[in-house]
Amino acid sequence: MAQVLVRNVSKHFGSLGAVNNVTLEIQDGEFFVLVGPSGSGKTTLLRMIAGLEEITEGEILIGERLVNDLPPAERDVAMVFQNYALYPHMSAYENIAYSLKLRRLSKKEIERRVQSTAQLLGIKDKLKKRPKELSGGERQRVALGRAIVREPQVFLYDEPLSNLDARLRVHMRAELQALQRRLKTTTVYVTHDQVEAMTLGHRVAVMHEGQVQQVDTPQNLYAKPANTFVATFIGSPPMNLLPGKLQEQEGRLYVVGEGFDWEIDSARVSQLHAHIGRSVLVGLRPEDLLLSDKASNHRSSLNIQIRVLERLGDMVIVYGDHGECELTAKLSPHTSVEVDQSVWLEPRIERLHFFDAINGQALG
Amino acid sequence: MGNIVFLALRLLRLVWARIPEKIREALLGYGLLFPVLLILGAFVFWPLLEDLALSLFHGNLGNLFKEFAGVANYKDLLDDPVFRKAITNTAIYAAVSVPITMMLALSLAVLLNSKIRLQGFFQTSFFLSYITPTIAAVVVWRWIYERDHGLLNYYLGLIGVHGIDWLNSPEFALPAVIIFSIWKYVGYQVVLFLAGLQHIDKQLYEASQVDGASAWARFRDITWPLLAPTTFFVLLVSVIEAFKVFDVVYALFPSRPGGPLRSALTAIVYLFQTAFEGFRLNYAAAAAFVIFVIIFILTILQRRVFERRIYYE
Repeated sequence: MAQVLVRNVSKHFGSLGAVNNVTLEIQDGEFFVLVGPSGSGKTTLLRMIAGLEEITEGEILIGERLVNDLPPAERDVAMVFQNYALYPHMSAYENIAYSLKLRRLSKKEIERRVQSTAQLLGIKDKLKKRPKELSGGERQRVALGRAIVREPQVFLYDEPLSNLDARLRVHMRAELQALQRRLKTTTVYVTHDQVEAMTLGHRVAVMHEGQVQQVDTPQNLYAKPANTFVATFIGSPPMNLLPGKLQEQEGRLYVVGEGFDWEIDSARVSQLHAHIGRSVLVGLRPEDLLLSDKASNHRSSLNIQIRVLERLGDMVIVYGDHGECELTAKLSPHTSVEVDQSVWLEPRIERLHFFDAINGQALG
Repeated sequence: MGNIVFLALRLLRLVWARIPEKIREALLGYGLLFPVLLILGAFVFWPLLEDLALSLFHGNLGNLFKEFAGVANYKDLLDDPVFRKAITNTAIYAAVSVPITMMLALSLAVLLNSKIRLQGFFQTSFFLSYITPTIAAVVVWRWIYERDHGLLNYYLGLIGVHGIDWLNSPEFALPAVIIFSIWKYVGYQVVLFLAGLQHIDKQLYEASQVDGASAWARFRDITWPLLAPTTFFVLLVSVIEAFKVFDVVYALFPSRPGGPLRSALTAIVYLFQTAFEGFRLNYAAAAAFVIFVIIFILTILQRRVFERRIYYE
């Protein structure tokens, strides 16, 4: 088990920068998730840690050992690939045993380790089968087994669940979590699925255009997104963003925009004070918008006409337009609203997020 | 007239509809196979039977089936030193040229399959030798093989080997044929191997790299087993091709087909000479059938030996 340090690492394909100056400190035993949309550089970064991609600039250390110039075999990492990459001509047993065979372990030792790995993954009765004869979930387990059996310092996962159907994915997600808790092996996990990222990661790095946008615990990513990208990427449906302006009136701080002026609660005045007069983006989580009646002060509520309505059973999601902006709100399942209906939504003022309108960085 | 056709068609449809589903399907299947069967029958199976029949008779150009001979022609063949020589030469030719060509082609294909510059250029260059007509290539090769001014002897001279008379000495005639055909077929096999290699999932190599496999282990454990269907196909085809070798020998030794002292006489050259120079057609038919049986048995043997071990995706 080991720490993984990524220091100022960049990767250029020709003139194209896939990863730009990324620095990460992954703790020993940590389940670390790299999440981002496709093309954000997360897989490239993972492949650089694995040694499958050359590092253009910077350093990668695994367990205090500089691995930049080491081939994958000498890095003591195991990788699980998106499409499993199982050897099709070998049985499940041979697939799992292959790395041990290469290390010239005794037949007895190989047998012992493969069996105990298979036991752990519940595939003992599938060991004789070839990958083609296995279901998607079983193949996934064999791929996991191939990684686990080596007892490597670091596990690298490249979107390992994305080829599974939704039900199995949820199931395997839980298993991966349990497995990691048991083995306590440092894990770097790449996914584009924010739910996977949030549920699995001790810490999550959100990547976008080759750069790390924020590294934090799932709760903090959600509660305190560092910029508008993280704010809209984490959380489903995404956070609403409304343009507005911070204004001071009679010693009180307001955010004013099209159809609203909200007084900012005193606790946050001090942190936002420096930005008075600036254009901002006000961030509102869909669950922080509540249905209100028109009778209350209408400058405190936002008026939308419901364009789309999704009843999910435990909640109702409504979509509508407020001026130029699309607004989404998660409402109680008992709300009686209809498509085309005009409703008023009132935000929880204490849960507002503020971002710089120009560079998108969180304020305060 | 149109009415009759119309009625006939309707009747046919009525009858067709009454035929049980299973039989209808079978009829349709055989109906679709019929054109192919017809062509195969006319150009493959019928000539084969005709050849077999011919081989069981004594005859002459005027009457090929003059007198039933039983297996007399076959008996004579077995005692015919020239035929035995031809078969032996062919077997040597196949046993030497096929493995060398395949090993060379596989190595080149593996090299070409790695990320190298000008891959297309090399691929085309290797393939050129295959598409060049044998006769044209042989004209050049006759010069390469020339004893006093040939390119091959020039280079051999640089390492101290002198004066090999490739085309006129019995020891070197067959090697000359073998070298030429390696040159000719290696490019073709490279293309086949490359197609097979490109079919192998690149991620398997990455997975095995992470698993700790050296370049050699990757070849042994990934490339070789997954390429086996291609290798087997190439082996089958080139053994068959080797037993059919004709034009090279015929063109390399134009004045005496079969080379000096028949040292490069191959089965098909023998067949050709017997049939169309000696006009012993019944005897040649027997020879042809023996060659057919040899190829047939070799093919079945190869299947028996290798096919079980091959993993087909």
